[in-house]
Amino acid sequence: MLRNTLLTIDYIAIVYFIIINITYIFLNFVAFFSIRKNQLKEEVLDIEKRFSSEFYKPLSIIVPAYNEQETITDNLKSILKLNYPEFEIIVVNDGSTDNTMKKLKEEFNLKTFNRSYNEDIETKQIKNIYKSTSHPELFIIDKENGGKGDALNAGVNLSGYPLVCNVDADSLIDSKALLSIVAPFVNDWRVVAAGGTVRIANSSKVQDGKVKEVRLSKKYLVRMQVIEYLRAFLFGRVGWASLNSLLIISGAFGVFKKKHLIKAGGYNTNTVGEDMELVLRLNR
Amino acid sequence: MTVYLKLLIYILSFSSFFLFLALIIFHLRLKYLEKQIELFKAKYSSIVESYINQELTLEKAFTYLENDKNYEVMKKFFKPYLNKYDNEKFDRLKVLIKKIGLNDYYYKKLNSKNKKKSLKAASFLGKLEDRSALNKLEKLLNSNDRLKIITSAWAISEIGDLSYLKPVIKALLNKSEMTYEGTTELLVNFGENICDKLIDYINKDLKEKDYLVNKFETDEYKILSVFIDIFGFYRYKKSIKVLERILKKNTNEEVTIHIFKALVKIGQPINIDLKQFLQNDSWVIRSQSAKYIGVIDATEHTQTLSYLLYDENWWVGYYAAQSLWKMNKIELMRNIIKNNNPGTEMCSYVLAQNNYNLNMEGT
Repeated sequence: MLRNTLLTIDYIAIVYFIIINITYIFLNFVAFFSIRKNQLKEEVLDIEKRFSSEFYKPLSIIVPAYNEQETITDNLKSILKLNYPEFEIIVVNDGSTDNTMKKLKEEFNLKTFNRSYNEDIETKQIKNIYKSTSHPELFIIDKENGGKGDALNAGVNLSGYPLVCNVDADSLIDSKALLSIVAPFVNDWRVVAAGGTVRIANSSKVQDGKVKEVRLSKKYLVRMQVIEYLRAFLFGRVGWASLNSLLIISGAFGVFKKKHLIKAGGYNTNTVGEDMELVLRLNR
Repeated sequence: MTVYLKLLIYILSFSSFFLFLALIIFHLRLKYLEKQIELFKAKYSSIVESYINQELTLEKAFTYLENDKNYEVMKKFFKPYLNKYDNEKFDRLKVLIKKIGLNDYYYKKLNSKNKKKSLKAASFLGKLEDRSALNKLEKLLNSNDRLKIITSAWAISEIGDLSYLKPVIKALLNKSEMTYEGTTELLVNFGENICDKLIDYINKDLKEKDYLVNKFETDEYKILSVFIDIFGFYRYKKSIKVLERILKKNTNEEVTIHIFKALVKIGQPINIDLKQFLQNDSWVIRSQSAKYIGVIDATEHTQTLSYLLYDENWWVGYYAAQSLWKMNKIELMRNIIKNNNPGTEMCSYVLAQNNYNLNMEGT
């Protein structure tokens, strides 16, 4: 009896192993060809040159921040340097209990700003809106804590452009990333959302908010995370996307058409997987 | 059962191995190509720069380059120069590239059955503005492959031969999912001369029913929207008359929106009563016409704009307030705020946005 039970468990484990590996290998092949196709597209359509014209879509970058006093100013400086013709940055301080707000005020010369906006999505109360006098494209929302989804929704309400981009406050964005992520919105009117690739920057050489040299961490836990991110983004999402079956756009870096985001009711505030939940609703 | 499992595991292992091998080869090839380009740059950048700046003759530059005929590397090497230079310097570069034989090499590649090779050739010949490639590019344009269509359309537009305008527009509007912005961005490569041709098409359409529909085999509003966007891009004042005529005749919402967006860029008044647009059911038309009023300083619409300040749509109110600001109706805005009349919030916002201090008299 015990032997049979153990054998059954063995078989289930092997079958699971085979199914998951077949799926991963299949996705790897699909992603490999998809990446090659994208490389060809980039080469023949010359995106860098194309988006120097006025035909880009202006973009609102929303950065939700909760207790990010250590990284917020450096990361905002890197976002401010992004290569994109017209964008605004909306940082949403989601009731931080540390010095995030103080740091922002000190670094970016903030003054209160009477910015009128549509309350398309219900959010926790906004205490104040600030505008930077040193960087006119930078706005800060100071609101009561409501979680990441709520902070993103407040940013969407305030945003003034047809595309909204969510970026984590502890992420560094490659200078050409915005151009690449917006390209599908110009090339295909059916596109409602696009996601970027997120990688681990631990131990990499970072200067002025830019990754100057990619290095692998010496810590094994971080190395595992690097592999996991490569799996998830480089072949997982690329593979699923080429099969038109993508179920998640990372909360760390994604772009949405604002009108569809609002129509879908914005981000769900009762879940930790608000990014996945939103994509599922958009798919419906 | 065990045999099948073993077989599956072998297949999986082999697939994984094959995948890793493919990745490694792919990676090494890329690295090798990058290295080749760097070497080429180090060797020939100064020669090409000297030639472009007329410090070196064509023959001399050619003598240096002819010994190193790796066309793939050469293409990647010359591409940034082709993007960077125009007019005389671009022409000089074209002559050198042609003499090296890159045009002939890529012209042959245009026929290749390998899609990747033919697309790269199309893109490069477009950059070189090589007219001899037009016939073959048109064949690519007639295919049903989306990437082939867009690449060849892009190349044809860069060459700028207006006799190919019709097939390009037809292919883009019927066989691709490009947005108006994308299509317009591609078509403006033809140059400003395109506008007269488009005006001609529209005039014929205004005379003859369904002229555009029959010619381009798609909905009239799509064709007109793209044409109008192009007028806007070039701020083409000569298009005002034709835009006026379309507005008087056309009731399509999409077309009207594009017309107002173009008019905002062109910044010229039109001979039509704008009040009907300020009161239109579509909020986009109301907002764009409100924006246009400010651009052309049409102060006779001040009262209508002050009603629009508290329109149900935020953007309509915003552009109405912006136009009042542009028309220097600051006193009116101050009074609205002072008396807490409807529109107070929007007036305060726009004044603050323009750094106007409400407690003081001026900015």
